Amino acid sequence: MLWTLLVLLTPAVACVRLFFLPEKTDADKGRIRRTSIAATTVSLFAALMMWMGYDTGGPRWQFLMEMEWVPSVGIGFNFGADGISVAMVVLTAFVIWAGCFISSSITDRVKEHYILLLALVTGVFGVFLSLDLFFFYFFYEMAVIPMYLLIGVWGSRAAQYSKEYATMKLTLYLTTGAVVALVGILALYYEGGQTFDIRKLALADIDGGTQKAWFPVIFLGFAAIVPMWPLHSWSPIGHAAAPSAVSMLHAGVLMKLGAYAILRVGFDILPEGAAHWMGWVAVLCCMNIVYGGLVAMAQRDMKFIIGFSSSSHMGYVLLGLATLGVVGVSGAVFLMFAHGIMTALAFALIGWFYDQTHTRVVDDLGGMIKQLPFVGTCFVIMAMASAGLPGFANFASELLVILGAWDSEFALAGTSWAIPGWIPVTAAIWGIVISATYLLRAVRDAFFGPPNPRWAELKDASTRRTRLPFVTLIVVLTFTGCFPSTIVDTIKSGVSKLRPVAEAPAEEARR
Amino acid sequence: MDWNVGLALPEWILSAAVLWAVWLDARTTHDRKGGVARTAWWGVLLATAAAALQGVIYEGRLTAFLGHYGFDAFSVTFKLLFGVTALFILAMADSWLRRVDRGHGEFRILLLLATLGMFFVASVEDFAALFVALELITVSFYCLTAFKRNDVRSFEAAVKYVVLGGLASAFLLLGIAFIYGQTGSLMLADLRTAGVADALGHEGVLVQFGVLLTLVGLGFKIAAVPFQLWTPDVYEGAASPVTAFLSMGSKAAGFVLLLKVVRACLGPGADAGLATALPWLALIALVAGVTILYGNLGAMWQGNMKRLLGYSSIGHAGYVLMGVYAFDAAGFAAVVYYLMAYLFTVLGVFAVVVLVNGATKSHSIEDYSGLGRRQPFLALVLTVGLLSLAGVPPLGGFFGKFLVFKAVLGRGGALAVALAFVGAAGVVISLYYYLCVVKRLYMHEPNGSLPEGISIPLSRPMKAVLWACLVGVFVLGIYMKPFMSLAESAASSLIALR
Repeated sequence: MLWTLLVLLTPAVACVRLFFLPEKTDADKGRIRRTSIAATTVSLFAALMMWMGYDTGGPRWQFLMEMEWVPSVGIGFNFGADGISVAMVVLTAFVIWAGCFISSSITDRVKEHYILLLALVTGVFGVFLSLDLFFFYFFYEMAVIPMYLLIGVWGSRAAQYSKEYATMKLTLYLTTGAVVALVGILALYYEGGQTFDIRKLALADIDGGTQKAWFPVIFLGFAAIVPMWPLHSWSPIGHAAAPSAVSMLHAGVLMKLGAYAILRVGFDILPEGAAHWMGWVAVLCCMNIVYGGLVAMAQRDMKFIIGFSSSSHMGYVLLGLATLGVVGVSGAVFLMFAHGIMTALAFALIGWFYDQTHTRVVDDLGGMIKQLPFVGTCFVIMAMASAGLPGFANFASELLVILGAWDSEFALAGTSWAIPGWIPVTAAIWGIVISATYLLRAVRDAFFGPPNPRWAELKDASTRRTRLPFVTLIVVLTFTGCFPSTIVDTIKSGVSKLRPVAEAPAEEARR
Repeated sequence: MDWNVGLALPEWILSAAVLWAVWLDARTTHDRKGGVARTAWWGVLLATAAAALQGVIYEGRLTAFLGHYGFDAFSVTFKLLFGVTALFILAMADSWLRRVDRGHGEFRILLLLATLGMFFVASVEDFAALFVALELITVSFYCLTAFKRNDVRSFEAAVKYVVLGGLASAFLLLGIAFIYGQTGSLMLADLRTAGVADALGHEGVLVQFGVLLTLVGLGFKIAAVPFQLWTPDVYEGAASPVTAFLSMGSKAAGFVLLLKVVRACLGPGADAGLATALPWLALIALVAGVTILYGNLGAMWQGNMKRLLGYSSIGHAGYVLMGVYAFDAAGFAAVVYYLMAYLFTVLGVFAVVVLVNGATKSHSIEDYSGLGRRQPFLALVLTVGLLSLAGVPPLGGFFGKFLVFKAVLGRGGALAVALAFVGAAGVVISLYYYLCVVKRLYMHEPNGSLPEGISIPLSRPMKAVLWACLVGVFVLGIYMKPFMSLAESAASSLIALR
């Protein structure tokens, strides 16, 4: 309980504290940075304690913190975590912690930047820990809105789109999704006996027809933020326009909110609806994987490449969810974790040279490895991880997803067709080949090849302080990649208790 | 049923303040009229305190003036709401009147009169008093709207307001006449016992028709489509404190009466099942949906801050109507909570508008460019207010919208679900145009309308208003429990009427 409270409240308290700090001199700015880093360090510590303290054989919900909030409406201040939440909280804590270090490059309106960043992350932690649908939505929307200002004020132009356009598009897409989901959530409130408590709603046994009717509403609402094809178009532009730390949070964490919400609300409360509709998701996610990858191949702006690759990788997550089996869904959650760390690393690295070159177009770069040996090496490591090299968490998680999908059969609701597992698996394997292609090309064009004389003066990350965030993220990625059981066991203990997973026929019986 | 005159203490205090202010105004010749200002402050303060005290002391339902004046949790809640609004408006008026060289006394007296009308509105129990109280508000606002008499816009606004307002009053009177003709009484209680919802037969039709006409008259006050045409023009033309008062006080008064009339149609005991029998209930859903879309779509194209707020206030009327459509305790509580949150939200926004207008002499949204750099605190209050209007957590406006949506879906049925989705679309549209203003504040450079080196002076009352609104919006959005129980007790006392 202490850890839940610490994770959740430290950024919120820091937010309020920063509001009353002055920002006049450089010393003030340093103080603001230190305060934020201290707050996120506390959160990170608490998140790690949750990870280590989580009992995989214990009850489903741990670290519980419960309080009545508005009893007459059925709202409770209920927070707690299962294995899935723990993994997501650890991911968020790492990304925001690294993001606070990376944000040191921001010198204009430092205070506002950190306040919004911490408000955003409070929202994200809140979503991952909340056991009450009201607070779930409350924090979800709270995580979306600061993004508008963060991108609009500190962002940069994204190819032909202005940052104002990018940020408005992002905000409106995500809010549309959110309010649509809100209508669904409120319908569940009445169907499930007038409570917002997720645990009670999951036991409410909502009528099957109702489940099938409301699942698409909830799913589509949250799928916009995943982002599922064809609702993805806000995402690459948003990534590209955002400042580094915000891109990190956006791709690393915010996109995971959608998948997490589908698990928590869609799966747990509407198991029959999920079982009914998820076949279609397996079809749509193939579009994500292949189409996202192909578009990424055509991009020349580094952030657009990673942006489309993110939506391609989130296709794997959706595929894992669509299997509704322990292996596939655990793989999906693990991939959310791995992809979050990997993509945060990618945007941090791109931010490092973009702050100096002011261009991200790979044709303008070239041969930067000479000036940036450290950053370049990290970038190669990131590309390898993203392309699914064994030894990194991405490989292990994608493997789980593919294994899970191979065993499944996806029935398409409304038709008599069923897609055998090997079809999406084929798309997924090709997706890996595609992502290897564009990532290696990006590495070749930006860091190797003929050096561009314009970049002779680039500075590498040479101090311990600047290297720390990169090294930490890589260590997390390799540690969980080499010892996947450290986190997969945690995730699995949560996933196996999700209703559609727990109620699905056992793997052996299906063969 | 007796006179019980003391029950109307808040109104007595306000009436005395009005008379004393008129006396002082006539006696003093200099322009500042400090005495009138002090009288207005103390009058509203004491009246609000008296209402609060009554709320603490008295329990349940009491009547005065032979049953024509009622007292319960509902009336107390709204009197507090109106009192706080009037205090905030007085602070804004002080700030605004510094730029005006005449009529300081009249302005405050008219504000007091309108406040008095609102206090009465919260307590009226028969149609005659209802009409008088409403006209007290409306006529005060006619004069207030025309207050900048050398300004063509203000003049145009006043003419529009008078003509359309007069029409609405005529509808209201006609409706009251129909109801009186059929039930033989002006008392709301008699309408309740007549049980309109039961009497859908031959005789009931005329009463239903009367109620419908009454709703037309009230629809004008709350600016619901199709009676909304005056709103943007009047909002633009009137002085900013007056606009603020219109958008909160006058609108809330309209909703108080709407709730009272609508409740009276349900019969004793307020059986929610009867509500479905009312033929015009689906009409309220329709009006709510169209109002939301009209207000929000209209606001998208505005370049003038006050016109934008005018259209957005139409949209908000639609959301409150969603709560009325729900037609049960939860719906009424949602209405009350929505208005409470709206108070802090919209008055915070208008406080900034008054201050910025004082420095730039402009209401163009472009002239808000770069306010985030020049006046960070004002920009913060404005941003928080606009986001709360859009319904973003953790702000009060969010919880109001949330309750309204919840209440509508609780009603069930295809119409309710459709209305909820329309409301959801409205939220997204409204977020777009509010964010367009926020964009100006933070992402655009100052355009020179606020001369370099000049900072907007903040008087102490204005500072208090800004902080109260900022804190209020957050508190109503995070710690809802005490306000929710207030709203619920108000709603249940309305439902429990017999």
